[in-house]
Amino acid sequence: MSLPNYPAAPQLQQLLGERYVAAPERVERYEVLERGPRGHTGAVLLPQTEAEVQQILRLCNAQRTPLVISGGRTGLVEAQRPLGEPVLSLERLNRPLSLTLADGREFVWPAEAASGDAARDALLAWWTALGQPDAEGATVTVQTGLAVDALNDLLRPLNRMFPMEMGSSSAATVGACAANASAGSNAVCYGTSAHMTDTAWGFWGNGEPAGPCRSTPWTAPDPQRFAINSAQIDPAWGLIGSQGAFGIITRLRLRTYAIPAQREAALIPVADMVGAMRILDAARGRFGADVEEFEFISRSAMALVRALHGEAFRLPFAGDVDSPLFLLLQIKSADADADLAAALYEFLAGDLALPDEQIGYAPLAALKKIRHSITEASNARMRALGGGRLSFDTATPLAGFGEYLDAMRAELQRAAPDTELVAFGHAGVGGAHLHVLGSADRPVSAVGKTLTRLVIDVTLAHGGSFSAEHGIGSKWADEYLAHTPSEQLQTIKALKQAHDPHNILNPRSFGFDRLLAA
Amino acid sequence: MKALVSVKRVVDYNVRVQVKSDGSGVITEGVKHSMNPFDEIAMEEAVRLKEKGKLTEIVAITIGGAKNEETLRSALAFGADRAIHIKEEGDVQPLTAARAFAAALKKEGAQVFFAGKQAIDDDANQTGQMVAALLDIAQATFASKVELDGGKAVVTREVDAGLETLEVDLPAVITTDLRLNEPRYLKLPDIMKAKKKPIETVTFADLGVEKGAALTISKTSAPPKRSKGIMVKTVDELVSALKSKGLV
Repeated sequence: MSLPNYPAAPQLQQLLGERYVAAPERVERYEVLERGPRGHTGAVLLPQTEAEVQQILRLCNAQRTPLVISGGRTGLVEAQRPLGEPVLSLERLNRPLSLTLADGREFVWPAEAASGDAARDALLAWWTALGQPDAEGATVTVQTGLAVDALNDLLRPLNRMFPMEMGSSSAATVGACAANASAGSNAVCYGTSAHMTDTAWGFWGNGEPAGPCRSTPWTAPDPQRFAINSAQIDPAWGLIGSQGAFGIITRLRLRTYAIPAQREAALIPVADMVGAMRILDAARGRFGADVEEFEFISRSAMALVRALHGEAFRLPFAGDVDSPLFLLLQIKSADADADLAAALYEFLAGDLALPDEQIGYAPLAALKKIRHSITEASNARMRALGGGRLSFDTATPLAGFGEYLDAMRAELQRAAPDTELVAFGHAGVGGAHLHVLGSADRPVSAVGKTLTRLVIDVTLAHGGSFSAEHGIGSKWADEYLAHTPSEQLQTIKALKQAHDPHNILNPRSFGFDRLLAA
Repeated sequence: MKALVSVKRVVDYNVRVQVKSDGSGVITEGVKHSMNPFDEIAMEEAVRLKEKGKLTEIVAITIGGAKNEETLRSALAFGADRAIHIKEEGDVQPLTAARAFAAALKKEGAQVFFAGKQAIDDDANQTGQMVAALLDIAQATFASKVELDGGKAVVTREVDAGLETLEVDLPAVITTDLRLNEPRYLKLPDIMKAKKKPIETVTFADLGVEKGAALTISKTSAPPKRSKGIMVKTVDELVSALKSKGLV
């Protein structure tokens, strides 16, 4: 096998053996992204120990070989797109390591039961032998490449969860989520995955050990400040939330959360986002931290979901309710006997004075199916229209989110009336996903720069961020360099120079290739 | 025409059931419960038949402790006209349940007894058949289509060979299968209104039924672990592997 022309290629192959993958048919999937143009690479590195990750970094630093880091390959900002660099995939570092109860009792997964049913059964047997004690406060330590769903399969028997709820949770890895401070649809209740991470360990880009890096648990955000904003890295958190800019997370201790005994949800039609945010305030006032989700869905998003599911789709209203926006409010209770449905009804019909026909009630799974189908529905519509899509992931502090989103929707409609805007997202934390779909006659490529400029200008004018929770990657590097205050740029440049001086990791993310050269 | 519909409170189908550490059963405390999904289908069918004018009254019935009232409230929210709660704390086995339902059916003078084909907690699939046997009336189980016509019911049921259509004289027992219908979403306002409706409470003694225990559960255990699969490269290898395990 001929080796790609990476300076470190011979040593990397020697280190990894058959886990140095260069066969084109096996490399191909690392070149294709969830969104964005395809990349190209000649090799994929598959370390299976933390020591191997460190050795790879040291070799690559010595040989000045940049790397692109790959987690669950669900990222949306092209950070993992290789342009010739080897791909360092963390997929083999996917073992659960230990679970620790609040009183210090610890279960260590044996090597022979480190995955799937065997891992779950081993943990359950240990917990059962202890008499199935309350696992409140338990933490779980895992390797970085464990998928979110796989982790939850392990925790579920103990009535615990890692509450990172998103459509890609079967593939998304806990390490990548923590590194990116990803926010699920329940971020209003649990915060981002960075908040769910107690401690992270790994290596800086120069190969030196990193950690313990610690984040802080989630608390309801000050309405005047960002709840989510991945255009701003908190240097105090180290590897957590730093989007792989300075180092690689290889191991994490994660907080676990009680699976609620009950959940109830309803779909609420609202005329505008300003009104929606008043409903959030009212819901918080009544249910406090038991508001588990507060999402918004635009009329167009709902229409696409309806088209996607066809006759199987049922809008959960008595009649055919139409509305510019819908809210998905989900509440929870730890008390299995609480009358949560009654509490929800009192809120909707009493506090909000909603008429019965405006209360969209259905089994939770049916409502969640609507929310989690939007991306798939948008993809289907994009293919049908054939004019491409511009995707934005923006945020503002909660206090201004309603005005911001109403203004954004109006501005986009005015500037590009021939496009379709699909808006949805995490209203509870001030996050919006905006998809602008073109048509074959009027592809978005023709107006891409203008609309991108518009979205960013409107967002910044409302004190917002052009990257809520998807990260910066290379997709938003230009905007990051253009709109980040110079003192912040100097801070992250200094961090980069300290921890990854040769810009080995994801070299184009954040525009480090240019920032370091400046 | 009146229908009696049995509705059972079970651990919600979304809950991953855990076996108690002493193997005496599964954990039900602190776990969400809801109406047995097959009974929801039975309720839905009864309501649809009433909407078509084929039934004039739907009476929901359940057996169990105080918490079972929730399940009857759900049935009322579905559209049941009345609800009967046979109050009994503790486990009730299928034969006892069937005796109670048979007595209630007789007392109510209902022409149809609807029930889910089985409950998802014990998967016994016995009660409906036992009710029919105890009353010596017709039964049409695993219904995937139901038509009521005068004194008869025409019931299509899915069997291994395809679809079988039965015509049975009423009164009859009809148990409902998954594909009979898709239950409607209950409306939150209807759930709230149902909370205010009266529920008739009776006991086994009122029905002249003695609680029995024909079955003894000796042990409850989690399903056996699946052994790791093996990959074979050719059909010959597959056949050979199956033969070595005595499967072909």
